[in-house]
Amino acid sequence: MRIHPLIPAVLAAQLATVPLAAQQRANVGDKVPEVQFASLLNSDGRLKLSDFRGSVVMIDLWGTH
Amino acid sequence: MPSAIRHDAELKDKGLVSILVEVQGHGFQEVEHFLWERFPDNGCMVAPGTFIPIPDSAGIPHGALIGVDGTLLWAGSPLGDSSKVSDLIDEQLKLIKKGWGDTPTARKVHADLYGKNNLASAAAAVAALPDGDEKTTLQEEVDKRYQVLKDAVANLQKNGQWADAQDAAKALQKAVGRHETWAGEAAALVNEFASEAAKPELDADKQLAKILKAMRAGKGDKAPKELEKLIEKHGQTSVGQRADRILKALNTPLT
Repeated sequence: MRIHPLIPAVLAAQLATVPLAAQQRANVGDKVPEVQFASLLNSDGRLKLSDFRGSVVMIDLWGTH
Repeated sequence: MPSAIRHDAELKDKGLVSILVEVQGHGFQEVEHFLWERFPDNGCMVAPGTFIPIPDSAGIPHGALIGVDGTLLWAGSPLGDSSKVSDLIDEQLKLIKKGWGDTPTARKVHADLYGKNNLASAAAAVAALPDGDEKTTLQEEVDKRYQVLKDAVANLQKNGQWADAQDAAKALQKAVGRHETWAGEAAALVNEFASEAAKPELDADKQLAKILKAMRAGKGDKAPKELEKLIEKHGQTSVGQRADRILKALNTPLT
């Protein structure tokens, strides 16, 4: 089966309308994309999410108010 | 947040890493100020203002659990799913001990690397494999683990956590055993802490540890003055610079 030559371009254009952050978000069951922390309070010296491979990582989003 | 802090204290030694991410736009110093004021005993890692690529939510609290192999296992409100999350954490902590993977060697290597902190044993198991995809993948993982642990020592030194860095270097040396390449590098790292250059850093870190211990116990009334003294004496060290950051945080209330 031959793919119409315009289909890849159309798909790319549609993808471009999705916000970048949404493209990068993982769903349950996916591998989580890399995160580079600029700094971490109480750090054990690891500064990238992938550095924590082999640990169970609990992320807690919170607010001060 | 109090439950996250409690959970972390209970399970940190078994392999749980808790990262608290402040999402209301406050800066690092403001967040640190808030934590010292409200949760001085917090031992979780804290990353203000960092985008975490997990499913979006309408509000907070919102969380996610990432398994030992980097897979997102759960995302949602911890208030409604606490039992489910606890079960998932227990399952994953067991995997750290017994290893995971499709083959006996993969499970052994993972258990050695992450459950037993025995890089030498993991490296030997990989070396014994015949050439092929499994060997290549596991070798990369062993090398990456070594590099992460080595880099952690340098990061801790840079951040003024010299006692922690020394402990990390010693743990690395133990983990690599007599490995032909790593043993020498790890020994050099450990020896760095016996050098003249390290002495003022380690001395300053001892003083800072006393101040922080009092603050964690809620007895930090004298901390600002003690931090000032430490900065005056050890301002050129990385520990002195860390003390300076903490002092600035104490003086930076939430806006």
